[in-house]
Amino acid sequence: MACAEYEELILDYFDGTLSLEQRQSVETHLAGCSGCREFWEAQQDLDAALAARFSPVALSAGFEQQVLERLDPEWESRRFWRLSQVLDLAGYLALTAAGGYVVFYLASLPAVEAAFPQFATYASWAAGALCCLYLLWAGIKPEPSLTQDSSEQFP
Amino acid sequence: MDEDLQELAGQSRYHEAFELLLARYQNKVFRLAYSILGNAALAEETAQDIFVRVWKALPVYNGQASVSTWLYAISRNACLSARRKHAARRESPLEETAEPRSSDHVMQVDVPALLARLPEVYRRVLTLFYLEEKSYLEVAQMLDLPMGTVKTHLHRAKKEAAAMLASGK
Repeated sequence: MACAEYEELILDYFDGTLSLEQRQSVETHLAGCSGCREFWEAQQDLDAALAARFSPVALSAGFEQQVLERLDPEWESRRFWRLSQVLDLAGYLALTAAGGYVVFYLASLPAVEAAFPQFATYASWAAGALCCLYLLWAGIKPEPSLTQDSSEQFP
Repeated sequence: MDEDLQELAGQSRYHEAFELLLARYQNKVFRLAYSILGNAALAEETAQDIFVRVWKALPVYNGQASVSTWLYAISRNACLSARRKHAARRESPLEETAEPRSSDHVMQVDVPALLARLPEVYRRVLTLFYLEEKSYLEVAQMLDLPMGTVKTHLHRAKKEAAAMLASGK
């Protein structure tokens, strides 16, 4: 094997990817080749220096908390988004029920019954259609403030 | 590996998904940012920005790419933007000054000076390789490079660095 190939093996040695057999082959070659031994020593210095340089690089302890604090207003608003949807729905249903009560009250008046015999039926259909429209709208309504960063490139 | 995260996001359980993602990836995102920016304080600030972007983007994550691929893509974009912004604000290099903290033998190697003379892509791969405890796979995923390319860049970087060390002696 030529020295250029041993240089690659030396690099693999410090990357930690050599088998025991390959390591022994490198060590045997180093014993008889001063050029490769010099390369080995340079890589050994470099490896130790890089490991020492980067081992203390770490995130500070409060990082997670800081991120959550930055998100605080939106974090809470999104937490209660579903609750607000449920309250919306309850409000609309209550409004429809109140409207229905008024309609049926009016329909039960003798004067209205005489003038518009189908009034109660049409009013029921209208109330049902309103409920369906609301449910359809609530189903397709997008969650608020989710697309602020539309310039982001996603894979 | 991130099936739990994908499931939570798919069920619109964004708070749980985000908390899990933050706990699982905060160190990796920081290290990726550090390898691109070369400065711990700026990397941490940028990592915060990245997670804010991720929180906003979580509802539009469609699950086609893995969570890590998606997150690293957002992270790389954010780091490159931060780098451009920082470069526009000041002319001095981003890389931190030397912090020798090991044996005398190792201290002879001025790592920041050495890294500053390497091409950007080599510097990034070399830094991340040591931050990620010598894992080709992690570096490949984080930088979106094939494993073979990571190894090639790494070996070229080390050869160039060794040549610089030899010429400096």
